[in-house]
Amino acid sequence: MRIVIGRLSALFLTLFLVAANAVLIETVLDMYGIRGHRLFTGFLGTLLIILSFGYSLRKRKKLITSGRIKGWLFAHEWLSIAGSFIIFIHTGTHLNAAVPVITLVFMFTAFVSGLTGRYVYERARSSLKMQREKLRRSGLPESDIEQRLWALAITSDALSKWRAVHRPIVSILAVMVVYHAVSALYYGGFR
Amino acid sequence: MKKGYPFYLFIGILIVFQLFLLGLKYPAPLYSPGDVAGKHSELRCRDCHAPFRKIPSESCSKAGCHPAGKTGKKPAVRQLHTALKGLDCLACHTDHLGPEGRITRPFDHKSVPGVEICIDCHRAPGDGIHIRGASDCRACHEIKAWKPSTYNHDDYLYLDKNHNVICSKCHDRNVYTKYNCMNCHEHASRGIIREHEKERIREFGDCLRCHSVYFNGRRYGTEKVREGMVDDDDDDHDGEHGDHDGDDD
Repeated sequence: MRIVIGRLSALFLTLFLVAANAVLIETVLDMYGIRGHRLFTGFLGTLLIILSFGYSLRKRKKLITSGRIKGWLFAHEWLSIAGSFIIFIHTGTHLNAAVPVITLVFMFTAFVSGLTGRYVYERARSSLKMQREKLRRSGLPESDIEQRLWALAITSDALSKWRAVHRPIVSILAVMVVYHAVSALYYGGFR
Repeated sequence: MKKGYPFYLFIGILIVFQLFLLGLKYPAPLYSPGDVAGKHSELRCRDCHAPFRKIPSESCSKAGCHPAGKTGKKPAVRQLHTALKGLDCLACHTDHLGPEGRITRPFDHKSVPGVEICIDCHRAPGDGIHIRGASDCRACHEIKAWKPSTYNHDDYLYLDKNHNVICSKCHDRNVYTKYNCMNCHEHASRGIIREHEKERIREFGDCLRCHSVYFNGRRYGTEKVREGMVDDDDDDHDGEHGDHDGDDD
């Protein structure tokens, strides 16, 4: 359990660092009246997140069939983090219109669920596997092993549901991003 | 039943479709990045915005809102807008910064192309300090702000301890286009008058118009006439004029 708590701390720290720093940067830019970055950061952040989907294509062997899955997963994680960071700069503290706010909520949820998978679930799963092996080697009966590891097993099981959140949210996010971009360009033009 | 990406994409499209329908009736809450200022709130989005374009300046002038050249309550603002007629309104103005938002950006001269002469937009200074008709404002002023100016009296005459006096001491009635040395330097006025009258010069208070003086390491005035003022060889660096008491009567 200690491992899960430690990982959760890492998750919240990453979340805080990414979101808070991005908002801080945007606030400073806004203070100096620099607003020309919004279109650029929106485009760049979206592009990085789109590129991170290379992992999903590689996993399903659609379009991309080469490269190690682990490498693609690494790229998926870091491109998403970088993309989200830039999107947070793009958003800053401007939460007025409903369409961008809804899009941001979906992105934030996708980001948090992604971080849960990266930081907590993978570690909880491997830790459970390792401890089970260790107890088996010590000759403990299976029923005792389950009793000892029940808390970690339940946590790992609960965390395995993160994908159930991540996938639908990302799908809806994709549609919302297109809608947000089209509506923003409709009213603001390409400036 | 396990649902795949197409199902969730469909849900996404459904959400977007509902937002789209809502946006047809209430576009501002859905798309507006911030409340608009003042009377702009009485307008519809499409009154100003054009699809997939930056707001065209024609949007500002149509329907008699801001007829070209008749913008602003203050005469100076109206004059400025008349001078800038035909230029992009969004070069200086913005909106969606809240009801009390400042919709005029800090003015940047670079954003207004083709404007070179200051007094085309700015009122010409009417005080006595500025030479009437002078158009080269940049000789003394920066583009960023009128003050502080780079005007330096030393370019005309170094103000040493003997000349560190109130302006009107030399510039009668605070008219800065003229000066009169004779307010202090009476010298031997009768002699000077006689000398100048010989040359039919009636006004000779502005000595440097014809004479020159070596002062603070540089020469001031013109050298039409060398006599009567300090000679180069004398090098009177304290600013004292040469001895011309010989004119005394």
